[in-house]
Amino acid sequence: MGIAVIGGGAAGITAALDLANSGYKVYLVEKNAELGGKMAELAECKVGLSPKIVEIENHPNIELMLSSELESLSGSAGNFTLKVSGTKVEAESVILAPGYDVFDNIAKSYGFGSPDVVTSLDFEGMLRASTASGELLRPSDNKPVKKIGFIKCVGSRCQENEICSTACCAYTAKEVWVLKERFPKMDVSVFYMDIRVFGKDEELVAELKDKYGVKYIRSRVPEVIPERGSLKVKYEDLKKGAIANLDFDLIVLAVGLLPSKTLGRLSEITGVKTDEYGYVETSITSPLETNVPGVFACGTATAPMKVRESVAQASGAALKAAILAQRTEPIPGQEERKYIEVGDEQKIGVFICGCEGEVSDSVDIPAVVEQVKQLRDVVLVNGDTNTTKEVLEAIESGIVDQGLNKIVFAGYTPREYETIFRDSVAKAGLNPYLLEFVNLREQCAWVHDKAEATVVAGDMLRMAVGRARYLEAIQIEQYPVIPKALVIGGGVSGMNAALGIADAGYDVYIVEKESELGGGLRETGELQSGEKASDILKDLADKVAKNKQITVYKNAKEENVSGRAGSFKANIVGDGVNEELEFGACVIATGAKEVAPEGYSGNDVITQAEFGKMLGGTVSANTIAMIQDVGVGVDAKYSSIELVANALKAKEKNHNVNIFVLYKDIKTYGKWEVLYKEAREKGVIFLRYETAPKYEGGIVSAFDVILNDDVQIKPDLVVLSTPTVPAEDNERLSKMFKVPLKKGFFMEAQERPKMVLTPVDTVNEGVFICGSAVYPAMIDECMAMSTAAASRACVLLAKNFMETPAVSSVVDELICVGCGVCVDVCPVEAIELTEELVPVVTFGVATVVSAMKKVAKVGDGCIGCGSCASYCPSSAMSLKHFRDRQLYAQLDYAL
Amino acid sequence: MKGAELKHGDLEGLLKGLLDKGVVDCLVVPHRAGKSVSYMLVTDADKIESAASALFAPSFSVNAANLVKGWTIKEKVGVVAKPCEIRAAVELIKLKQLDNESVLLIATDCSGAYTNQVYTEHYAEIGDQADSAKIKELEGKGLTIRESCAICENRLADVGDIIIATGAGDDLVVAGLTEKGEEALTTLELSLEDKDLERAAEKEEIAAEAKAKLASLPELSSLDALEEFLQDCIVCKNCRDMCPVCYCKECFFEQPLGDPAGGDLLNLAVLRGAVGLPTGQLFYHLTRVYHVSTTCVGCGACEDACPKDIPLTRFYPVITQKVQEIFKYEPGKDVDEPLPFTAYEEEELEECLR
Repeated sequence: MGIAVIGGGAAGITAALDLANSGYKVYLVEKNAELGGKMAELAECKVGLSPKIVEIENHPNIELMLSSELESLSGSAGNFTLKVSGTKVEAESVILAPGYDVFDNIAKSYGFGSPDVVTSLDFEGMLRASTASGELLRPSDNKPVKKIGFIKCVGSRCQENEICSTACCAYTAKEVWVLKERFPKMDVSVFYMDIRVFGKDEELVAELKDKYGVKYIRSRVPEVIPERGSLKVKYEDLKKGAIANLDFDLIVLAVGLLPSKTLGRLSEITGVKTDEYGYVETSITSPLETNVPGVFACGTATAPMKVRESVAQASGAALKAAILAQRTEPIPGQEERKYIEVGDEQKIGVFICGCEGEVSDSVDIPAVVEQVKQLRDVVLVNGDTNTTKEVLEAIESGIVDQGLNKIVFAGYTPREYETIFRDSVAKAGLNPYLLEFVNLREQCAWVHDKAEATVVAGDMLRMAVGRARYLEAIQIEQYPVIPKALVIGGGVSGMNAALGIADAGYDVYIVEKESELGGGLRETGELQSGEKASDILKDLADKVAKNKQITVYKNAKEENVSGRAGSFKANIVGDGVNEELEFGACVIATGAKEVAPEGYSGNDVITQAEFGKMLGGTVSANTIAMIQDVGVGVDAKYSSIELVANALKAKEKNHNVNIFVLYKDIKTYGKWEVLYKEAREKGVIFLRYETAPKYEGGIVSAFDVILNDDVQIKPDLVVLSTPTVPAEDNERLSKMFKVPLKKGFFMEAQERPKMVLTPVDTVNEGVFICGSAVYPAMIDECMAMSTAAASRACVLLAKNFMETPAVSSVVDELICVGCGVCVDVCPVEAIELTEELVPVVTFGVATVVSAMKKVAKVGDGCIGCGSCASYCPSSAMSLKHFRDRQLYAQLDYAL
Repeated sequence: MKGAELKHGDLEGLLKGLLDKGVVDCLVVPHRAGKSVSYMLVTDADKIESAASALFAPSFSVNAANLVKGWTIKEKVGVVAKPCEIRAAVELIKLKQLDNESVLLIATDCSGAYTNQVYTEHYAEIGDQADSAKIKELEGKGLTIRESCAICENRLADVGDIIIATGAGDDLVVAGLTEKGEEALTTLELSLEDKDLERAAEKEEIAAEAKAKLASLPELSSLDALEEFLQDCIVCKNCRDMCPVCYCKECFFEQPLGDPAGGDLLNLAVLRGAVGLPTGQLFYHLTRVYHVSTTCVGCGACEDACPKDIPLTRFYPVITQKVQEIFKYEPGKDVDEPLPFTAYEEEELEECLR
């Protein structure tokens, strides 16, 4: 059997790959003819997603069902039968990842209908077109755009769609950033109600305002009036307290997200319940489970969210689905391989692929083939293939039948295809590093005209053949994966991650520095959903205690971490413990700490967490002032939500209580927006300040920027939202596990700037991060992320062995002069300088002195980045597969 | 900083004291060899001679740092030399080619230097010392200091562990810049008092003159111009051997890839139709200037060493100064300042990106 994933967007792709790469059969069902979903429409994202699409298309464990739809579902968890466009599929579990649709009922008042008023999705297309042309042109008259206005919250936080779409603030910031990077002189204004971004996005918005000169204007825009070749935006100028106008060449509407149109039907077919907004109903403590056991949901099927959160949920859902299924498939790359011995005789085979016209339309391939045939040591040139499949078959047959011992492939980009091609070469029995890759598509066909492209292609191939002559077989060593995991931190995220890994069948060690499990949630009374935090903690702690595969170390910490993905070692030391543990993967879940802001003191000043607990009993105050966004630290994602939830509970207890909220931005993202609306309806007064309010002599005073006046409140109780700071241990763990920090929180391995497809992976393979250790988040996000981290860890633990990195640095000790600069430039501290005393021999003079001999040594952690090799002036340090002689051979043909 | 006042006649005693009191195990000091000045390595204090006439001689033979390069020994060596030489030694400490614990760096004020050849030929006119007035006077007679000295902004001693600054007439001030330096002076039983040797105005004046001189040098504005500049180069690599901050054990240009010969060379000729011989002048100098781009102290040893009289000062220090400006790095200034290569910052040099 297997697992059915419904939806082939970013979430579906992520879930499918996690499953397939841990040995499960996957049926990936996509209603469109192509994978990628909405994300593939985004200007910057297609490039990031496409390597994963290629991986799926070539994955032996994935049955790709394109242009297909789910028609029926019967059976139960562990034994479902699905009908997909007429085909019967049997699966143990199902993942729903249908994605979202954009709000399309845009009000006429936004000037929608004018060609120069576009949605953010259309704008992505314009941005993509502008990359090629270098110009951003106005649709109506093709004149260059000089002034752009972005309007946020179009089709969200409104009557038709009352919730917040969560993603728009960040995606607008990203669009503006790309725009300003490409057109630095562009005049950009952004109209917003609240800026709901966190962490890195917060930094981006600050940078846009300060460095890029983007004007952020707080106003809900009532009207856009197209007139005489320009667009007049009416808005409320808060400083003047009057309606003002601004003219623009182009207006971009940041449209809101709606549940996928297919979700209604999916709900009918599967019996999965949806909530009042049309999203799959999940709970704050089980964000991935639906009401139907064995059917899981992830991404924008459950709520509007960003790519980062969406793919985290997808990884999490993959693990939940996997636990109900049997592993039936071999994991790619886990088979034994033997390579043929390559003798002195060079037999180079060159394969030039037409890439379905993408290369053959620009490059005269037959002409290039004729040139390459003349090159020394080239025994075969094939220019007849047109697809990946054809060329892979030709290469395999060239190795097996014709005894080729060096391969040059020219065509697709190595970014997406390198692994697939190396794998194919290896399967045919040739060491995978005897393959030379030429990116003829991106670096030649796409950028040169036809006459030029053929000349350039000839040069590129001459260079590649020159280099191929010097390629060496690289010895790849295998080492066994230790099927155990270490989880650092025993809070909600840590416990949940540990349970996920243990449920998948692996041993887990939890190391907690405190004397009991529970972490930050122990300070919380009720959750926003009304459940008692203590109940949740007890439930998790009981499950951990009962699970025989989990060992808990309390009052303990880890020391002396060594090893690499699949095979780590660490000492666990603490109260009466000093053990050496071995593990294949590690999950860091150290959480965060709340710190009460300074400058507000008195017996009547408490924190939101304390107020939350107080709400469990009696609240005697009649006038409450809540102050948000003060103090030093980062703003937790739950901060505004906790505030409005508590305000509502206080109102429920005593509807006469006066509550004043002093804030900068209310960030009740997603469905939590309704709490904010409800709070306002119930009479909670929200006052927006720019300069932090004061509390002196029993009076809270502030300047309200909406009223444009001073306000003074005499409260009985002051409740402070607390900013969060990273766990103290992060600094130490960061060094030990080689995972960098940003502002004290752990950084994910980004695939490229601003786009996160691997939110729980780090630059150190095998080390995963989750929960508030990454960014202080709501419990639902912590649960989803920790399951995701568990899922990613399990993908690794499912393997029998790992391979040492083939491309790594080596030292020629005879040449090394011991300057140690390589030690300093190495980003992963994989190089050390060894010193030994050597006697000094002089012309028969008695040896009176000794000298130190220093030599660099490359250790296990080398990631093959080449920083050391590029510095080393003596060339004592070199990178395998990128040796000087290989690069020089290539250069010789370029000059 | 703390220091003491001395006379030129006290210098010999000062140096002898360093050996006698065990502050250092050996000393590398300038000494007179006829009219010329060169260095010697001394372990016996009695062998120290002619210190007074040699220490401030406006003559450049080799860079003293080059003499002690790679001395990673425990025995402590004192080096008495010009600021550019001391700065090179500091760079070598950063590159682990000298051990900071085993050296005592003593910098002397410099007024600019003549090549050994000019100095010995015109010793009668130049003498043991030359202040700036004298240097100007000699310039009128057609005797000019080395170009690298003329564009040097760091002639006043302000680096190393100890500095010896010249004052009016016979006056000198010796002062400790580091703890190690001060400790050494204390061991010598000098009565130390607070000294201000900032000499900002004087430095500014020197810098202005140096900058003007630099601006007057012909620029190498294109690759073609550079090729022409280097056309006489015979790739003897003397410039490398005399460079104090070229520190490899086996230079890339001694390895087969950097120094193709025989079949390798013929292969290139087959590939390109013809190759100039000696081959690789441009490659050699571009590689070398890249390697020393942050550490070059502008001492001019490379130019002195060139048998073909290529004015290498117009290439090496001129280019490396620009690189150092970009990184706001002053080689040899502070032993604790990391080499720019090793100090990676995620966001830097953004102005260079566009």
